[in-house]
Amino acid sequence: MYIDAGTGSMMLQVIAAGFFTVVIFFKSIRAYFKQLLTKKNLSNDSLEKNHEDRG
Amino acid sequence: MKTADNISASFRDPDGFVFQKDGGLYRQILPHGSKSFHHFLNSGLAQRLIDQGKLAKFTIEAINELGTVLHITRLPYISYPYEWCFSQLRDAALLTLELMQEALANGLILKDATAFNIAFRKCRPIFLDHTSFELYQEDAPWRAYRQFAMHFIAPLLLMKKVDLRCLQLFQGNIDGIPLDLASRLLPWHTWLQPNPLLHIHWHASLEKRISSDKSSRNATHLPKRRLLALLSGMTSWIASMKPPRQSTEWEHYYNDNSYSDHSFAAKQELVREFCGRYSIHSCIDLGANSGVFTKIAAEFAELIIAADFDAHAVEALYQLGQTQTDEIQPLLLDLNNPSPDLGVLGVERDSFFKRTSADCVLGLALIHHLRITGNWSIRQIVALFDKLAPAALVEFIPLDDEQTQRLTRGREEIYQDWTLDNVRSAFQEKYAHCHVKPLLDSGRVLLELAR
Repeated sequence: MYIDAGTGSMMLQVIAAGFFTVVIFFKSIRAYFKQLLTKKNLSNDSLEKNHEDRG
Repeated sequence: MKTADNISASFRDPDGFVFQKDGGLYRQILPHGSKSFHHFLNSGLAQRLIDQGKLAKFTIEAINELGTVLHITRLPYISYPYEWCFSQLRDAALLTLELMQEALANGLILKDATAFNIAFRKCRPIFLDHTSFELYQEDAPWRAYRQFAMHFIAPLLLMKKVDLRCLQLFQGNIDGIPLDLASRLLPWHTWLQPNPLLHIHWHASLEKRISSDKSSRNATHLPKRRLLALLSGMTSWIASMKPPRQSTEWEHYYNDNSYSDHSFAAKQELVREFCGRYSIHSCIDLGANSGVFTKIAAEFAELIIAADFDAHAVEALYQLGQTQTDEIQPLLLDLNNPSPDLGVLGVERDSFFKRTSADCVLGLALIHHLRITGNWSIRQIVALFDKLAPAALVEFIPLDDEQTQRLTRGREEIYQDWTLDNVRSAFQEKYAHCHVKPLLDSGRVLLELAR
């Protein structure tokens, strides 16, 4: 390794990586619920459409 | 036969070096870096990146007592980070992060993250260093993170939050902008933003507070999953950065000048004729502005170095290259102070003049600025064109022109030598052919020059 990684820099990297891991965790939870809601809306829409078609 | 010349920019890496021989460009991989390089090769990553245009092409030339020799396909032009616009530096940062993620997926890691590892071909960033990929050790942190912050994050943030001209700090700090300096220069509200706070402010504070201690450095562990989260976080943040809007006097140059539509069309036609007559392959457009004439030159040439000293113009040229004319090589260049020789022994990074030559130069609506704003002598103006190419198309704008009057601001008596006769005879000392082509009713003329 020919470049100086810097001790403080390595510690900061661990902190920053932890921060982004938490951010990504919450983002994935949000994405999961968003997907769940979209699916629910889609299935409601298709149910209504089927109902209208039959009507 | 010419002996091998080591390229002085590659002296730092113990795993290999670049050299030139008989006009070819080669990279010697030393035994120390052999294992990593062969893993890079055998994983298929090298070929995949070459196919995607993200890595400089190479072929294995020989295997000798020193290791492996690669023959590298030379790029048409190398520009340096301090000659890029905001979007170029951002795209170079994104390519570095993308390659880092690709490397990790293939059991490798980037051992350095310098912006000088990247050049531009057809307005797309391309990675140059084949020995940057080394074997990944389980749970090892990214040792080049600090270098990435100094080479990419600090200049991008300074350009975005302070001023585009902060890029010039790079010229004085070719090993990257010191993080403590970046932290002091950034406005206070960046302390409230998570990314600048982490990558610059806390980073700089921790660097200062914690002295270099080998044992603690070796003890740092960072699981791959977390490292990937860091890379992904930095990627989405940097990808969201848009070039800052700062108004400059050059933005509306073509809408605010003394040409009639006819004269402007005549000028375009003369540029087209000139480029066609000299069957050019490469061209330098000095003061390219929004690239109106660069586009015309691109109809003929395979490489156009489109230089301007206005960062917004270079940004526009880069966008033009990405969307319409990919032969463009945008370049941020102040002719009053062009990039000098830099680095160790003054040979690490070549000056603009050492790197740049072409079949022809365009100097349209330029030389009156050099004479009046820059106070260049007419001989110095001729020397500039003579240095760069054997043919040139130069626009002469007389003292009584509206644009020139704006520049002289009542100091006309200092510039009494600025006459067509004087300019023409000075160019004739260097160029055997000098044809004067008037631009209809504008009072301006084009000088078509060839040695």
